[in-house]
Parts: sequence; C-alpha cells; structure tokens
Amino acid sequence: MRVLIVEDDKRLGSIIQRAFKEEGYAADWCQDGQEAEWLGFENPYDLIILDLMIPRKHGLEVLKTFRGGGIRTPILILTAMDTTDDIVKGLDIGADDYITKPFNLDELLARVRALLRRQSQQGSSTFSVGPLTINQARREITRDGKAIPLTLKEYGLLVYLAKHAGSVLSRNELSEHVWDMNYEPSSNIIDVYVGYLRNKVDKGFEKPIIKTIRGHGYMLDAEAMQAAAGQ
Amino acid sequence: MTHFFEKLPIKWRLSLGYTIIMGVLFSLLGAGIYRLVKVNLYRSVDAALLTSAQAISQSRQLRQNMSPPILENFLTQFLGERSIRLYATLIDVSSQHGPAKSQSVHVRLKTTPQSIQRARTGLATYEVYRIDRHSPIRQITYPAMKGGRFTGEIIQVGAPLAPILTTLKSLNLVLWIVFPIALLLSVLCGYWLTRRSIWPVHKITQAASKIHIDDLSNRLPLPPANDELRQLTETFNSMLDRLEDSFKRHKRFTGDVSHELRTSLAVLRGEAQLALRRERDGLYYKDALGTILEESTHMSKIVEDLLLLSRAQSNSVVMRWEAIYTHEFMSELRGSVISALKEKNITLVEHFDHDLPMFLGSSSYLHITLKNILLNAIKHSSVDSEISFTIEKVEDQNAIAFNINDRGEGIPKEAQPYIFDSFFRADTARNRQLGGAGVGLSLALALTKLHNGSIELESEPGQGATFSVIIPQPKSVNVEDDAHSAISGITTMSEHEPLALT
Repeated sequence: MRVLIVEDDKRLGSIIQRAFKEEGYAADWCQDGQEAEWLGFENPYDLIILDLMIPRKHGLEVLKTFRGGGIRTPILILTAMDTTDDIVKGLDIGADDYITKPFNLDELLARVRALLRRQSQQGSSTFSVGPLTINQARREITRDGKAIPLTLKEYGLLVYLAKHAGSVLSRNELSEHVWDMNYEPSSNIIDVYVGYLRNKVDKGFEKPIIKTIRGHGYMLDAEAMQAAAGQ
Repeated sequence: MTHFFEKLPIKWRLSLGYTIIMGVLFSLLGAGIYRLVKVNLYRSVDAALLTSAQAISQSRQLRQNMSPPILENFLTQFLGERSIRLYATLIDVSSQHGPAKSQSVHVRLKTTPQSIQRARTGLATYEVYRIDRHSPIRQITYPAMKGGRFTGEIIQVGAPLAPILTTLKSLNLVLWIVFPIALLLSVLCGYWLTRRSIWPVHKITQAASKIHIDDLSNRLPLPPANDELRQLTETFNSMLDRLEDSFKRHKRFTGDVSHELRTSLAVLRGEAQLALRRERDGLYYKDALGTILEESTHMSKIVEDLLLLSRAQSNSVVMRWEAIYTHEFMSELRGSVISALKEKNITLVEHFDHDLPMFLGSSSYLHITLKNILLNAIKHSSVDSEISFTIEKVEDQNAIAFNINDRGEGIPKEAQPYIFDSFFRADTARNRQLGGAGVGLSLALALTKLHNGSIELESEPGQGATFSVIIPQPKSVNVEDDAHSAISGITTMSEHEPLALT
C-alpha cells in the first residue's frame, strides 16, 4: 500500500512518514500544495494524508483539483483547523476522513486501515486468503496457524499481493504500490523481494501460492490456496 | 407632557405634531377669513349710509320736503336697487321739542344723546341696535353742516343688518364644516408621509437584524436619496467594514496561533508515541528526545512571544525608560543574530552617529524589536548579501531612528499594510522552515508603540526593504533614577538578561 503524506511541518511530516513505513506502507512525503498535486497525478497512491494550511496552494484547493481530475483515492485530512465549518467543508469537497491536530498516532493508523479496507471491500483488519491470515493491526502473518516473520518490505509486498489475490500484478504495478518514490525502475529489486517472500511463505509448504506469470508479473494464486486449504 | 411626548413612537409623534400645527394654522386662517369678510361687509354698509346721508344733507329740496316716499325714491335712484334697504330720517335737534320733524318710513330710528353730542361737534356716528324683535340696524347719525357750522339738523340713515348676518352665518357654517375635514385630511396625509419617510429606517432595521457575527459580509441597502438616512446607512456600513476587518484579523490570528500550537503539540505527541510503539535502541530514543526538546523550546518561544505581544498591545507591561549605551546595545544585538547571519553568510554593515553615545528607551524591548526586524531581514535576504543597520538622530523630531535595510526580494505594495499582522506572510505560505512563528514584526511594532514610536517601511518589489524604527526621545525622563545615574555615568543597563525569547 502506498501513501502520500502532504505536511509542511518538517518534524511532523517525518514522524508520520516513519510511522507509516514502520507499518509496511510505502510512504511519500511532500511539503507544499503544488508538489502534492504533481505527485498525486503522477503516482497511483492508495491513500493521501492531506494537511490544509500548506504553502503555495491551500489543501482544499489541492483536494478540489484531485477530485476534479478524477482521482478517487481515499483522502484523509489531517489539520489544525478544527471548527465544524472546516470539517464539513473538507468532507463535502471530497475528503473521506478528517482528523485534527494534535492527533493520536494509533488512531491515525487505524483510520487509514479502515479507509483502505473500505476501498478493497474488506470487512476487518484481519483477513484470510486461503491458508494465509493477515492481521494488519498487529502486522502479523500466519500460514496454517504458523507465524511467518516478515520484514517491512516483504510484509508490504505480501499484503498487496493478498489484497489482489487471483489477479496478475505487473512489476510496474507492484513498484507503484509497494515502493515509494525512491524506487529505481531499472533495478530487479521486485524479483529479489518476491524471492525472499517465497522463501518464507512457500518454503516448507506443499503448494506454492506465489506464482510467476511469465511476461506479465506475479500472482497470489487463490485457487492453489483453496486447494491447499482443502487438503 | 414632554415625557409623554418622548415616549410616543416617532411615527405618532411626528403625526401628532403635524396635526397640532395644522389645527392652529387652520384656526387662524378661519378666524382671519371671517374677520376680513365681516369688516368688509360692515364697511360697505357704512359707505352706503354715509353717501346717503351726505346726499340728503346736500339737497336743500329734499330737506325741506322731507316726505318718506320721496326720500326713499331718491335713495333708490341714487344708490340703485340694492339688497340693503335704507331707512332715513331728518331731525331738527335745535328745537326744544325733540324729534318733532322726525319722519321715518318703516321704522323709527333711535337718537342717542352721544350721537347728538358728537353731531354738535360736526362728527358722524355709526351705531348698531335692535328695535323690538327685528334684526339689528346699522345707523349713521350725520350732522348737516353749512359753511363749516352745524345747522342744528341731523340726518339719520339706517339699514337692517340681516343680510350681512346671514352671509356671515353661512360663512361660519362653511368654515366649521371645512375645518375638521381639512384637518382630518392633513393628519392622514401627515401620517402617510411620516410612514413613507420612516420606511427606509424599517428596511435598514430589517437588514441590520440579519447581520450576524458569524457573517459580517452583508451590508445595509443605501436609500436612494442623499439625506441623513443615507449618511446613517453609510456610517453603519463603514462601521461594519471595520468590524468585519478586525473580526477577520482576529479570527485569522487565533486560527494561526492554534495552527502553530497544535502542530507543535502534534509533533511532541507523535514523536513520543512513535518512539514508544516498539522496542528501540538508545540512539533512536536520543533522537526522539532531541526532537521533542527542540519542538518544546520552539513552542515556548511562540507562547512567550504571544504573551508579550498581547501584554504590549493591551499596555499591561511596564515601560521603563533607561539610558542605553549605543555600543553595548549594538554588540548584544549583533550577538543575538550572529548565528542567523552566518547561516546565510550575510554581512551586517553597521553605521551610527558618533555623537550618539547613548539614547533613551527600554533596553530589553528595543532589543527584541530590532532583533525581530533583523531576523526578518535575514529571512528575506539571499545568501552572501548585505544588510545595513544605522542609528541616527532625527533632529526635528527629537527622536532617534534605527534603519534596517536589506537587499531581499522586497515587499509587494498590496502586502505592506498587513506585514505587521501576526503570522502574515506575503505568499500565504506558512512555512515554519523560514524561521520564526510570524509574531516577530507585530511584536516589534507593539513594543515600538510602547515607546510612543513608530515603524516606517519603504520597499519596492525586487529592491529590498527598509524598516525604520523611530523612537522619540523624551525631553525630561520620567524615571528620574535612570536619568540621574545616566548623567553621572553609572551604567543603567538592565542587570538582567534582556527579555530575549530565543
């Protein structure tokens, strides 16, 4: 899952970015309205955290531009402006949620999870795909009841694959949703991480669930999983 | 009465006043008309009587042959057929037998002793009296004269007043009918006019009641006529302009303050929460604590600046005049901005009058004022540039001026009125990375005003900006202690650290 953080305060922006990275998200951070617009249209973010009082272009203007430009990404406003008027205006212009500063970091992350699972039609933060159970709140993965420790990047990659189980994901798509703006397009880093993931998720189990679709990309095979689960 | 009148609604007060005035006017007019008609009618009767009497007295024939039908015929011929029917009689008052020769046609005219008395001196007398139940008679008693001497004969001509009285009676009736109708009409018109002229007030009231503190953007509709009501409306509207402006500024100020403080709080809370989420190494905690310390320092600076600002603006700080030594003051000031200067490699070019070894003011407040303006200049200067700082006497105002000139991007004309507003930034960016919380210049202005001074700003976009802080020098210092010690050369610089809030 890839998140854009728009926050003009250096320290606060860094805190939010670090928190998201620790949760296995790919997090890009920018400090003004113009850059936010550019990034928002350039990359397919899964969620945008937007401050309102930002330099160059006001947050609400950025929000209008996004919604006017057809971007349907969930947007969470994170601001010091706390009057009912501000909140109503923000939500009416097209924000999906509104949090006022100072905020509770845990609450922010929980709300982000809620927005993301609403986006993927998913019921709760813990979901199962075949033998895999993913607890997003606690960042825990189990296969057939056995805990699988993963690094942040591996976790992020697996969550994205699991959320799109059954469909083929290109390397480009994976790079856009799992890696942040520092991704090097010429590198084979995706293949490397898929390799790591296979080592941990498939090794020692009968049926591999992460498939390589030659010429296209990778897929978490739901049918294979069902078969595995049926055994 | 006045009390009662003042308690009446203005609509009724005007109508009532109007009615009273119209009533008095109508009464005077009616009385005047009545009197005028009456006097004229009497005059015409009197003139006819006099003419007849004169005619009789001049005609010897008539006087010798005084028979009523002849006399009446004569009068009719003489005066024509008139509505006034005349009676005439000739009396010889010289005879002892009284009215022996008196003759009258229909009625017997009266002769009063007063009229005979007057006749003897050659004067005519007009009288009115009533005989029996008939209508009153107007009568002239005219002395017959010969060669300027009274002949002893008087001629009496009388006329009944009935026609005149009838005319006056009808006039009276007409006046009494017309008067109330006219008065009623004028009252109604007056009420209608009053209502009409008060209508704009009603509209203004309605519009004004819709104006609320949450929405001060509405204005009262201007009445078309250029009158007092329009002036009142314009006055209201300009008051609303000022209110709206100050509310907007106030709202923005509180919004900005809360933005600054909330962001700081979010950093403090977020950093601590993030650090506590899982086990970390010592270095991580050290970094987190460093951020928290830095942020809380920044926050206390904002809070202290705001506190000082609000105290200075409400004049609840004590302004202590003291003697300040120029060199000492400058070196402290330089010291407080040196790190900011070095960061951008900016040269501070100082110049001050040599005959200005000391000046008067509050050392700590002037320090904050000039430091804030210098920091602002540094913020807007490019790397490797120059800022000039001069202190000079303004002779004609008995003041000293601190001029700070930078070669930065300058301040746009439209932004200049707002530059001293808290948190104002020309590009509306609230970039804390530029340094300062945006209170600096407003604090500088508030502290300068405590000195009864002013700050002048000269700037052309692209040409840099010059801030001049002008501090009037009091002729006699109120704080005698300081003045004396200054004169005797004892250092009076505050022993405490200047109230620097960095």
